[in-house]
Amino acid sequence: MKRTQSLRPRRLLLTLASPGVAVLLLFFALPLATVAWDALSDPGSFRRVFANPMFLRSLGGSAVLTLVAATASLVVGFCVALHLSRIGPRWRALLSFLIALPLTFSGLIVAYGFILAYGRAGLVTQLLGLLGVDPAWFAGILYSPQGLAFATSYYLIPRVVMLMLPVLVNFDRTQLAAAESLGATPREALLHVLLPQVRTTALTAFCLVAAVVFGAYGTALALVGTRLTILPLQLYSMVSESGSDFPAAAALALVLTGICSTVMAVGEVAAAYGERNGPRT
Amino acid sequence: MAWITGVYLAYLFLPILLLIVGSFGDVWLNSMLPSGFTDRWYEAVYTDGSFQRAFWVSLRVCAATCVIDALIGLPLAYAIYGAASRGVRAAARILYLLPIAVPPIVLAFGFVLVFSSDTLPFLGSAGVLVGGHVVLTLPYLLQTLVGDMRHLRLAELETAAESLGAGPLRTLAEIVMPSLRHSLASGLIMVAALSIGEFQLSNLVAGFLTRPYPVVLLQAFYGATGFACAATVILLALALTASAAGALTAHRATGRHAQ
Repeated sequence: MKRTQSLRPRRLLLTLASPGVAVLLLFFALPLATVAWDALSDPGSFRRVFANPMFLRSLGGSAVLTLVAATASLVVGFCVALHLSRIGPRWRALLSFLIALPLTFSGLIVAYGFILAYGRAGLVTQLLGLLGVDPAWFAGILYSPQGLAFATSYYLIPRVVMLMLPVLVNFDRTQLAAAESLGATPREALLHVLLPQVRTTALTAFCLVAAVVFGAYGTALALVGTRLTILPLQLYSMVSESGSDFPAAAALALVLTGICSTVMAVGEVAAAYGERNGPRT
Repeated sequence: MAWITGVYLAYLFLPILLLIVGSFGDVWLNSMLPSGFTDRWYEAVYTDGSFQRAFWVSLRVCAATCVIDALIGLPLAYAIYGAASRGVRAAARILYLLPIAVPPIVLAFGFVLVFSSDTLPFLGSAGVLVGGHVVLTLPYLLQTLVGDMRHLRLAELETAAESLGAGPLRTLAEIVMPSLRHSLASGLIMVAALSIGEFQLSNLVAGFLTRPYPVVLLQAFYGATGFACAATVILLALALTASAAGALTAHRATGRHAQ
């Protein structure tokens, strides 16, 4: 795509950019570089992180949380976006607005709402109790990594819907009709015609929400407290407790950043690759 | 597929409805729904000294974040748009991804290390808190602004204005700023909503007197149900206001583009 070149000389652009760049350097690059310096200048910091038995348990908890939350969010978000792409534009605009609401919510709002709905004395817990479901067992799920996945999907599903919706709205549905007239069942048509065209966007959405949930601790802290073993909460405990091992905390912070960035990068590379080679939708 | 959307909407609104019901309920102990109607919880939050202070801290931090974002974001977005080089575009793309690629807890830890040092002993000050909110929200504003500049083909508009004899300042005042006012407004509303709700960085960076609303709210979760609900609903109302304002601005902006 060719674009008209700007009239502005290079020096003017640099001057315009400099205040913003200065703020980003002071409040972003400097803190991050300090974390890296703290971790790398102490040769034993990474070894102490990996030797801590908490680390593997937290990594496992984070992996379960991330896989469950990202997969569930992708499946639900895709189905909702598919439904929205098939209804009239007015309804679609209204439902999109409602579905996007959680994107501006603080992680705390929903934590307390979920306790009211699914906690030990929650409405849903008690309704299920009438059907014979043990309330203590049901409420216990909410405070496990799987339960946290159920709660954090609240913020992730809207992101998936917003990414998938444009692709699905622009998808030419006569292709499905053509496949079906050639003898494919509706299911086969979806699987072999629609899915290949949207899978790059789906992978990008999966990576994005996986990176978000892997690095977040707000909802988890409000819902369960620091007892839950996931990496961001382990880091939070190490940072907020006085007299703890800061170089090891810095090493853990680098590990966390590395995993989130890698997951994001996979999604970005997939998106760039899809834009160049994949079928445009 | 319609039933999935239905179940999803129930999942979306059940927690919100329960928070609102709970905030007006007089007593809610181990029953399905609260009994009695009262507004005493809102009054209790309203008269609570630490909530009052937190509310004003949040509004002030939010206002400062919006002003600084606009002042540094507009020129930076213009520079990103104007620099046609691939390197700048790649750097901007990475900048947009940073809030997710670098978890807020890691940035917060970096703040603790940098601003509790002897050279920069500012941890707990409102300035550092605002700085944190600015870097967390700036990428969203930049993405909105640069996207709109590309969409409007701003460079062509500028060329047209200058070929008709307008100087750079006049072009800026009469072409660039008016064209961008909708995307600036919707971007800043997003910034305001994110800043008001921000918890993960503020929780570690704020000082005792500069704790914003969400950080104080967490303490309320350990108290009476009605009080916690009312305190949460206030934050919810702020977020909903921002969302509605953002949707209206976007609606007006699309109306403008269609003309």
